[in-house]
Amino acid sequence: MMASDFTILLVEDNPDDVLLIQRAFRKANLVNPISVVDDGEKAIAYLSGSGEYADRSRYPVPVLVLLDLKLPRKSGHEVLSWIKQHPALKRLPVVVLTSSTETVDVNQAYDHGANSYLVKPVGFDDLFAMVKTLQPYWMILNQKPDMEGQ
Amino acid sequence: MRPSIIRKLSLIYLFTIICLVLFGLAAVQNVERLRASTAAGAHNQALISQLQTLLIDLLDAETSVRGYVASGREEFLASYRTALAAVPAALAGLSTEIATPAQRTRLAALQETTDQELDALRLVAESPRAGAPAATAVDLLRSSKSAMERARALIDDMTAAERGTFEHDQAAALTSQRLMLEALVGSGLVVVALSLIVGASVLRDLRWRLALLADGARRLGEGELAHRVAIAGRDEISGLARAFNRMAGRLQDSNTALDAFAYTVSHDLRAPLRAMQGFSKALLEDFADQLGATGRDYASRVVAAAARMDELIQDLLAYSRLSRTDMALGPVPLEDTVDTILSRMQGVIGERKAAVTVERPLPVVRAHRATLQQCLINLVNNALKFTAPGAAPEIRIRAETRDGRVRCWIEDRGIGVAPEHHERIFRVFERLHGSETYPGTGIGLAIVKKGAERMDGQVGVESAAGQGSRFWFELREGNAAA
Repeated sequence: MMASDFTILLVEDNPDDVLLIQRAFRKANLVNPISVVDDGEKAIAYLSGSGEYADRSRYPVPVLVLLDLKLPRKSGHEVLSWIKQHPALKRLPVVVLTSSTETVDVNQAYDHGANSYLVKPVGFDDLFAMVKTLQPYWMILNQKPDMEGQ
Repeated sequence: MRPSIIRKLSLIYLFTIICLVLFGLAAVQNVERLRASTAAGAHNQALISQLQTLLIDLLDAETSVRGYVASGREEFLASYRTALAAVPAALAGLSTEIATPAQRTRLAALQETTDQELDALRLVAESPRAGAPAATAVDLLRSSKSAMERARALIDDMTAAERGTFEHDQAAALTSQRLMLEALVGSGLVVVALSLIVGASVLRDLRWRLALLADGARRLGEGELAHRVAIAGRDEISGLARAFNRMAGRLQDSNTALDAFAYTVSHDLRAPLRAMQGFSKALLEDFADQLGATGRDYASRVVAAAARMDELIQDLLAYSRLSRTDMALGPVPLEDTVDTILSRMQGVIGERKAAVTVERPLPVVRAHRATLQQCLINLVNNALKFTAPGAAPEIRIRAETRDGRVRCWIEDRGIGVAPEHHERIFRVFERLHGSETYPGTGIGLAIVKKGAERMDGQVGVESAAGQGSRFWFELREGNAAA
């Protein structure tokens, strides 16, 4: 398996949350490489392979995006709707991982085509449990779409 | 553009006033005419009586001369002599008072005739002294008689003419009076009809638009903040509607600001909490050896404190969300809702080894499903929590329907609430126990109260310390068919 087959893109601006999520991945023994970008514009640049992210061997197209909603420059909602309208990326699974429990956010995320909506738990144990279920569900059970096909 | 109500009403008043003024002018004119016709009538009557007096004077004069001729005695001439002075005076008086040309012509004729008669009579009256023959006296008397007859005819004509004028004036006065009465009744009817028509239209319009406003206020009150009242125009009611809409707009604005605030709280306030909690946990797990027992205790306290604060934030958010969410009420089966929350709470119920009884069937209530669930969860949670140490909770859920309202009871055999605290416990942040014995945020019952109120309901408790608590909330009965 190449790294490009199972990279996860984490779009998260809070370095504490990044560390905690990375730790949870480590504790869950998930070996997927995690690429981290810390604002909405960078997420779009990464996914379209433009600018500093042009090198696809270093920045491969991810198999899953973990997307925070409240982000600098471009909000998670904007990134999400960009992904879902992009012809080559629209089938990329996007899991919203945010702290907002507002119905407006949940509904809007699903309207834009989010594949799942998870609320960041305050307790690390809960975060760990959540990450542990991410792996079998999205990496193993979930049938991956053909990204290139029509 | 809708004319102002005041303007519409003012138009009616203006019209009424114009009608009254016109009628008043007509009345003044009519009274003047009546007065004039009464005066003219009196004048006519005076003329008629003067004419009659004149006729009698003439007759008296003739009779008195005849008596003198028959008797030869001077004393019979008394009336004749009176007439000699009175008749020209009467004629002079009449000539100053009679104005109509026809009557003047007759008066002139009368003057001539009376002159002839008086001349003839004078000749007869003077004759015995002048020694005139008896035959001449008879001729003179005959000519006087014929003049007398003509004078009588003329006086009769004049009297008739005066009487005609009098009657004509009377008739005209009566007609004018009748006309005025008709005008009064007619204009009165028009004013009344106009007031009724305009008044009814104003009232109907007013009622319709007030109903729109009332409906708007009701919907705003029910939390439909985006609702605006559609009343155009520039009258008082549309002014009220505009003010109402402005108020609704500001309410919506401040609500949006509150939403943004709550969003910030839910998102940003919890991020540092996650870090505190997560990294303390990492310390505990990855560096347990280096920390030592005290260090581990401190780190655990940070973890617990962060968890409590998270709970607090969540409860506050839930409480504030209750105030600002649009709450569409509909029929919700209480039994399903109870089953749902009980299965969701299975973990904690099992943990506390609680016995929960539900008295079936439970009715359908008019509620907001998520809010009803939240209220039930909080009440059942309290029933589970507030038990004597070591005792297993016993909970009974039942409902009674009375007068279209459903009262749902959540009863426990726990530690109970002393009556003096019954009101306090429903307020935000009110707690009766230390957090060591019964941990909690103090918002749970406030959420139940606010939730019930938003669903047109009430809450209450019947309890005494040590006796267990019977909490209830009351909602409207839901129509199962709806």
